[in-house]
Amino acid sequence: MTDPTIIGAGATKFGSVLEDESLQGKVFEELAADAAFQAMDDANIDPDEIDAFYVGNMLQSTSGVSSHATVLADWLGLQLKGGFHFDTACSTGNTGLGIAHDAIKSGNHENVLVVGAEITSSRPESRFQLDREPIDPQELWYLTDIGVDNVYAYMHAYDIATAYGAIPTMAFARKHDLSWEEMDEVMYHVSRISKEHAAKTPKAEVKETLEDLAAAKDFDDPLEFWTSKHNPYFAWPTRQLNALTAVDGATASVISSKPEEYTDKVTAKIRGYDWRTKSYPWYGEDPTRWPQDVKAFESVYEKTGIVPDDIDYLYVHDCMQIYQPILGEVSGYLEDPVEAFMNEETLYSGSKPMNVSGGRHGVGHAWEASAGFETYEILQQMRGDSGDNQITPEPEIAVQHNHGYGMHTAVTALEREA
Amino acid sequence: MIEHAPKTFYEELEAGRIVGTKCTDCGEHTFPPLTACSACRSRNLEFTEMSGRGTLHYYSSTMMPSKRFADEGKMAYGMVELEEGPYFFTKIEGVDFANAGEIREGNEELPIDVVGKPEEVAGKTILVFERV
Repeated sequence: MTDPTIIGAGATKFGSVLEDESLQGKVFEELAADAAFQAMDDANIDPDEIDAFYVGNMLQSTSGVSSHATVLADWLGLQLKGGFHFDTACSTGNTGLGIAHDAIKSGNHENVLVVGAEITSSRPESRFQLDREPIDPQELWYLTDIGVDNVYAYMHAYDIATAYGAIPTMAFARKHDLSWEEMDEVMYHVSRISKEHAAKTPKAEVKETLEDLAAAKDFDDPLEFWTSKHNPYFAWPTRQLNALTAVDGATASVISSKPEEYTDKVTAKIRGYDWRTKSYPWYGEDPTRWPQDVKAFESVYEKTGIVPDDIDYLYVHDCMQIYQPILGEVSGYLEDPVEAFMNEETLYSGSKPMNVSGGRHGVGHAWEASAGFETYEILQQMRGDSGDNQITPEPEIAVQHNHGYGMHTAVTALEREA
Repeated sequence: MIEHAPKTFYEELEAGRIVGTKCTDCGEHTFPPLTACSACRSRNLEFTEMSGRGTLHYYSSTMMPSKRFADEGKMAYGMVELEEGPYFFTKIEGVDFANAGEIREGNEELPIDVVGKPEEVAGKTILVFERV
């Protein structure tokens, strides 16, 4: 048996079911089906050959669905297959790779489909999905914050912008002896690179570079725009353009023990994975070095024999973009995370490419669909199919990291199989 | 094994006492009180009154408070290291946070000593910390 291998992946456009032409008028089930059919077609596998499917979705009140696998079975052509709903919040698609890996490795299944789908823009009125009402950001976070400790943490004036964004940013500046202005400039470059990546990613929500945004407001210098009133603080020192963009979307991956039976395309072997969890507060004494992140990376390196120097492409969870430099450093991928972003080493064409589709700000963040988009993009990179964002040469070893609210770390190492 | 940890925490807080747990195996504190020791995983815990003293390491304030706290007005929120060891996040008083400049200057003064107290926030008595 070949090690469990990703043989196909699919993703919808990330956007809004209220506004985006390709998503408008579709129900949750159709979004999931669009991604699942793309993944199965990409893998050249018939639904009858899928043994089991796992479905991730966090906001059941916006999808209008519960017991997702039973609801989706017939929509996906997977009736009478094994299936279940699973949930590690925003790391879900990454976690699904590990579940599929183990189900296949045990010999219980040969082919597994992992699906993630999420709607953050709106919710059904009176249960009927085609009649939708928009959700404002405050309501969206009220629904989402069910993912943190609601007995104590949420009740104690919970503020995600400060806990997940501002404090780690301040800690990173202190750790690297950066002035606040220097820290702000690092984050400007993280945002600028992310937007450049997103602008070249057809399915991403964000289409404008930072230079485009600056020019639209009559700024010649995008750094001046960055520090202007047009980019306020979400919670000082974290600016709004360093935060996620909430969107709707769906993704899927097919994992198989027999890739050669279905496809002659490049595939991505799952070399190893690890998950670690920690309840709130998530990071203890060092907000830039969370124990669950450290242990997950260490465990994957130990299981696979991969060392940070072997990694050709790193994708990390960046719903607050400070986690690009933080996790670039924690993973050992970036020796000097400050210089890496200041010198554009993390650009698709740089020596240390990261988050090349644009991350959770650029692609947009569709909670339990997003990790699947990152897997989808890694597979495209390994195949040389990433168009204007293509890393050259194609990455042989890629590592995907995700945080699942609050707080699950999933790290998976993938190897290109030609 | 302890029972009714959250009920005990909130009821004791109403009475002015800050309660956590202490592990009878390793001696470490867990705060707020849970059903297992955060240091050694033991279930052999006992309720213990915390000193209420701590150190504020970081704080800031969001432009978009959570819906539950939307009517409370802007507030400071920070990371406190309790004298007994655990870290806790909550509302902070006695620090300046009206604008970015004040938050920046306030954080440049950190760490500072803080002390915990019960306070009603959004209709519930919670533990907040204020500058000593």
